[in-house]
Amino acid sequence: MALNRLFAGLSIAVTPSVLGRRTIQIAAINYASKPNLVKPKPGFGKSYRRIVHFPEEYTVKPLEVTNLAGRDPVSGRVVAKGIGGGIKHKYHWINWFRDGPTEGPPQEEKVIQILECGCRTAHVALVAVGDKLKYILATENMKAGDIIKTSRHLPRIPVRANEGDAYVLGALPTGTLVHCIEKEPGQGGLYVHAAGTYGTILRKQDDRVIVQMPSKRPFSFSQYCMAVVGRLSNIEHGTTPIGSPQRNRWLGNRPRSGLWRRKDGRHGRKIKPPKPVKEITHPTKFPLPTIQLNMHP
Amino acid sequence: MKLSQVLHRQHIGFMFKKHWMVQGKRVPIDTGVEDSLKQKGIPFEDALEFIKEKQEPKERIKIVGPYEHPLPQDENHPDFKERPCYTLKKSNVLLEGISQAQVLTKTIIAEDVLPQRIEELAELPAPKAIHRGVKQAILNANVFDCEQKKLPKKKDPLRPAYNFSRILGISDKRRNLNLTNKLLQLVEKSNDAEVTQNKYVLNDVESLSVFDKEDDLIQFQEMSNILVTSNKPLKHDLNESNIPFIEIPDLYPVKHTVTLPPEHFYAESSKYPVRSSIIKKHPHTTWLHFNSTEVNNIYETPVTPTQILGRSLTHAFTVATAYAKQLYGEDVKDLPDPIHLNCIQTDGQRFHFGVLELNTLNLDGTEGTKNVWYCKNDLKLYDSCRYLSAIPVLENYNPKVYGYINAFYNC
Repeated sequence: MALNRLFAGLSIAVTPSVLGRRTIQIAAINYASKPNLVKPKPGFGKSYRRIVHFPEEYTVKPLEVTNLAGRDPVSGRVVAKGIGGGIKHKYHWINWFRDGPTEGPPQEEKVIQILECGCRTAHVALVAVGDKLKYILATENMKAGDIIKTSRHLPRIPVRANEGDAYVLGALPTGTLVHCIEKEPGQGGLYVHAAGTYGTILRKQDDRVIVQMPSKRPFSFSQYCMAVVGRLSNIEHGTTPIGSPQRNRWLGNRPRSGLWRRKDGRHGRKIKPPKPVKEITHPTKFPLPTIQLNMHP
Repeated sequence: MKLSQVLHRQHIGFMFKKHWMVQGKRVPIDTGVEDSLKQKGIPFEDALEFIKEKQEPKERIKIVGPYEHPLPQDENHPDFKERPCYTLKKSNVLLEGISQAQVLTKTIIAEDVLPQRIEELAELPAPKAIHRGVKQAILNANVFDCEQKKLPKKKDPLRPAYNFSRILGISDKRRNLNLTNKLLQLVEKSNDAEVTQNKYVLNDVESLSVFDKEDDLIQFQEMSNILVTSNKPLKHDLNESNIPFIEIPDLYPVKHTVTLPPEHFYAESSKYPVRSSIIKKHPHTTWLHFNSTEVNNIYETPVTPTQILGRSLTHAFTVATAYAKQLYGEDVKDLPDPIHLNCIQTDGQRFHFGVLELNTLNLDGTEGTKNVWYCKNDLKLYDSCRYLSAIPVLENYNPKVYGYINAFYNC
């Protein structure tokens, strides 16, 4: 109503034609009624499945979770389709930092129990060191009562490591299966977390180590990055079919359209040359923050 | 005639609308001016920050409200103590169970062995009327109680999404309370007045003991569900020498204070529930309930049997130490006379009996005089007690358990 009165006696002359009052009204109402909304796109490691309520300090108590069902928490709109429902699982806060002494004998830790975590495919091991309890990703043959070692020391001769031990990449011989690899030394294990996956150390070049990821792409890491030796637990996860549409709903996936054409698009056969080695470094130069220009002062 | 709007993917009108949203975000080009100025040491400031008025910190006026707000429990609280104290409460359990309890209390264990006199007294058969009474007590506690509370949800691991209908029934706290109190009452009825007049039966008393172990201050806060005290101290003849003791284990790499949360607000001295001026203050037997709804691990997995047994050892130790400190003072190390204490832990069905011989409160290291714990674990009182096709049924009653309870009362 107020808008109508505002534009009552207006007419704008734009190029040859004259925009009528009615056109301006419609355009103004359209601009006002649909906000300039920016919806994020899913992908690049961000899945709109759940928010975990992390406390300030690290704790072993399973954490409360709110399900997002594909919605963006900022705008509230659906961003990723096909997510929703499912059994709500509590989140076990995994300690990704496997820190050890830089000199001397490696630190020993004891595995207390192996648990299943509903928020990830791999199993989780409860580990005790001295006063503290923490969770780590369980490897293939880990069982309660095992002793695992961690060390940040880079020796001259490669160490013969057992499953579950964590050493720097430079200390491990070529051909070892590793997981939970750090991107930058001291940042916490970021790569290779899924059930049954592992990376293989291919070769060493000067002070970088080339590791083949589960996607068969070679990555080049700094030799001081920590990695855990072994293959992740729950190996049959990749080969077990889901079994029923109801089971898929329990996992939190809503029904999908099912349109699949065997030879087309992303389902078709692809033959590509192997990609080159990707160097993993932490960027030192970051772009300046974006300035949002607007009409109001 | 088109009745619906046709939305084209390429629509010049939408492009105009989005144009400003896209053009309005500009990333400034990094000219490197900031870095070069920093290197030369010339101070600079953001122009938009410079023109803002400086906010002076305003004075906080303390207004007297309707009530005093409680101070936050951090370092500035007047009762805050620097040195953290590792506390064991009745709701948390030790990680390694009985092994950790052994290391903490410097105890050696005699498995499946109880003092000679208790074994002799337990062999005496009780009259049939008593066993009828015990069976009636079990039925009363498990089945004939009219409490209706929501019991924990039933979950089937093979069908994780299925919601079973909620069961209402007797909570385990009330069931244990009824059962143990009735059992003790039966024992008292069958004994002479000279024995019963010398004993007090106290319900739900708290004992607290604070002690030092290898530079860590440790505190045990325990609540005895039933504490039987008597007018003379308990004495056992424990001269058997050829018992295979379980020595204090080495918990490396785990320290003995794991799963004991540190607290900064605690009381410095131990507390025994009975005053020293009362004649019948000497502790005789302590009963401990294991309620699975109240006692659990911080990482929310079910409590293991070793953890339950460890709990009974720490409980007996708490009551005995609190009593010792009341008799001999706070700083006593080696006791002149050993203190004996009986302990029974139950979760309604399983009974764990134990006798603690407290010789020393000097808990550093593993050498020197040690405390001894004689135990007889995992005696089942009955297999199941429930309604089977509308008839209340008690399966596989074990008469030996009553024998032990009677022996514990009479020794």
